[in-house]
Amino acid sequence: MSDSEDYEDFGSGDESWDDFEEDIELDKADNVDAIENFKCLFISSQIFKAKVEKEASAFANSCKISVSVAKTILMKSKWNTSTASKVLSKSKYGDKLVKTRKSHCDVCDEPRKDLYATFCQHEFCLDCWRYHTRTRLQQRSDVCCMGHGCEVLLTESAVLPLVPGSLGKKFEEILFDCMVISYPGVRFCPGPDCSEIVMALEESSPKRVRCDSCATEFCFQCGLDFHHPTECSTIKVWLQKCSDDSETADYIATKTKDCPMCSSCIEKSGGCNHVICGLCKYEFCWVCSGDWKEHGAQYYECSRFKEDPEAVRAELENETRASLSKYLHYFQRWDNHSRSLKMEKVFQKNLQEIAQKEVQKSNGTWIDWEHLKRAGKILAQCRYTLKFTYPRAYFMDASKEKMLFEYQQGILEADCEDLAWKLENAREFSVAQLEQASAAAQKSRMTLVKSTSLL
Amino acid sequence: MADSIAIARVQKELKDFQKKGGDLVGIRLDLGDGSDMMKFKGEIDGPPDTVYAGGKYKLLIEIPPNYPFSPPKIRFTTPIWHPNISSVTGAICLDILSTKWAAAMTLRTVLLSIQALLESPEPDDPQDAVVAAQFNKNRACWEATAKFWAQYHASAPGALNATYKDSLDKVVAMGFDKQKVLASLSQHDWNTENALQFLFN
Ligand SMILES: [Zn+2]
Ligand SMILES: [Zn+2]
Ligand SMILES: [Zn+2]
Ligand SMILES: [Zn+2]
Repeated sequence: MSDSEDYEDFGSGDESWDDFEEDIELDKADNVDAIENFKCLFISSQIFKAKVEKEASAFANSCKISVSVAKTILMKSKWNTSTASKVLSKSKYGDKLVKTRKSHCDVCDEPRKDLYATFCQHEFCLDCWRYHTRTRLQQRSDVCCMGHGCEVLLTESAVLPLVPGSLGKKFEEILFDCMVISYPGVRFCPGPDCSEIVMALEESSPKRVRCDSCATEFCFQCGLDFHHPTECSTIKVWLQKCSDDSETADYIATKTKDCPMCSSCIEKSGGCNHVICGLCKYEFCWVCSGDWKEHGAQYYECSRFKEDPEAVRAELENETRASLSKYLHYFQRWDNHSRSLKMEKVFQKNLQEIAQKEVQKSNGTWIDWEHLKRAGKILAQCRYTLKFTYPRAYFMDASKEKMLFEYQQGILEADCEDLAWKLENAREFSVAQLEQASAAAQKSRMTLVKSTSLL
Repeated sequence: MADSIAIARVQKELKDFQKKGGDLVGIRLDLGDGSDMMKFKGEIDGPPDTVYAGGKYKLLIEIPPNYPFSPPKIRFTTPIWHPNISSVTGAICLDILSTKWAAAMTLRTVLLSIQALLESPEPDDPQDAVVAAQFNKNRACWEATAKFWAQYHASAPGALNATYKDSLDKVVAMGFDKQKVLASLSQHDWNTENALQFLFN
């Protein structure tokens, strides 16, 4: 590759600076790539639609049913045809409404000439079918027959003619979403406004996917940001915890509560849950904050299934201080890496601009700048991994495993900060020194990633 | 639009109800002065040969605007001790009032279904966990309590269980609200000690 080609590539500038996959051969050599990146295929909604239509008509042909019924059943059986055959024998689906000869509708209780029924022969007028379908779709539930005790469900082909316009479109959209969700090894890209579909080429696991179309990076298994070495369920709990910051709120709530009426802070003195606000005299229940006057009837609902609130609270109060400081310890480090990642992203962007100008002015060759860019990418990878080590550590029980994990984490932290320092003060270090720091950090990261993916 | 369907349907149902009559099977609809077609009262008799026999149970019936495509909202306003009915709010756990509702059903069929629920409770699908637990673990106590509630709240005939009445009076004499005491005693299998402890908290 000549310098000018590289420069072209560099100059395009639009692409996010962290498209590092292809750049870092080190990863591939050591198989970190396979550990972190999920093997998959990107297809458009249209192609996926065509694929499922084809499968549905094949199943429809083999069972001698309509495509609409085939689709509904395949969705319910996760597109497994042998499960679908069993489901088919057990369920009843109406794929079209047929005009009948009766002349009275039992739902609106009016004489009508437009009575329709599926094979179950429960006949109702067209207006009633329409209202019924609309009501069911608005509640996002299956459209069933209106007959007393009838279990026939209407499929797409019977429902669509009943809901013209925007509701019909919405129904088709929901149906398509359900199809994607029900299809094993397939998921939507979680990127905003992206309709790209990801198809797994390996067994589903919490590895990284980078969308072909919108460049969003996410975990294939749960759709959240890629989060190795933390597990899907753990990261979900962690993110929830961070977002509602409940620890701090809990701490305050153990002794005081805001009056639901005037918001003044009230300290609970005795054991009684009937609390009166000193300021506005509002009387409320300490447990649920509801109005005490209306509590006469609802009191049992409020406390019946709970353990003694006093005992729980006392226990909580003692533990809260310790658990709060533990949480803050991990949270601060998590948050710190997030901030650093953002700041370094800006730094890298500036670096690109500087490099572009300097190379144009013939101050040094592209090679001189390339190693800074590479070091920046490695630093970002390390920070990203480090960030996601903290939720894992927070939820780990004290054990040998945790000690080893925190040891590796500590080494990566040190290497990462060393690299960050050398990168920020690049003019004071030689290319060799920077490369050495990059290699050390990369190696520590690989050690940690590999040892955690074995679990 | 759907609103007018709802009103028309309810009017027809009420006319039909009056024509067929409900008294023979022990169900009644009470429209009051007829000013509100979307909210009125109903009443069912406790079925004979059950703990509710002879009791009269009042219900509040609310018709949603998209009736009959959505089920009517119905709850007991007369307190009742039943595994599928909340002893606190009167909310009813019955499939045809939620998932199994079909537009072709009527208020008449619903009231008859509720009456049938009184005849055969389903403790495996409880609305009131405490009542259901008592029904499963201490059937004799459940029967006596349900009967006591029927006599106390729903004017079912017969003398009140003397032991229960005694306990009730004793605790009420300590200055607690009568309804709360009855609920607490019932929840604690008529153990005065436990019921009191609950009331004090
Ligand atoms: Zn009709
Ligand atoms: Zn039917
Ligand atoms: Zn995307
Ligand atoms: Zn995940």
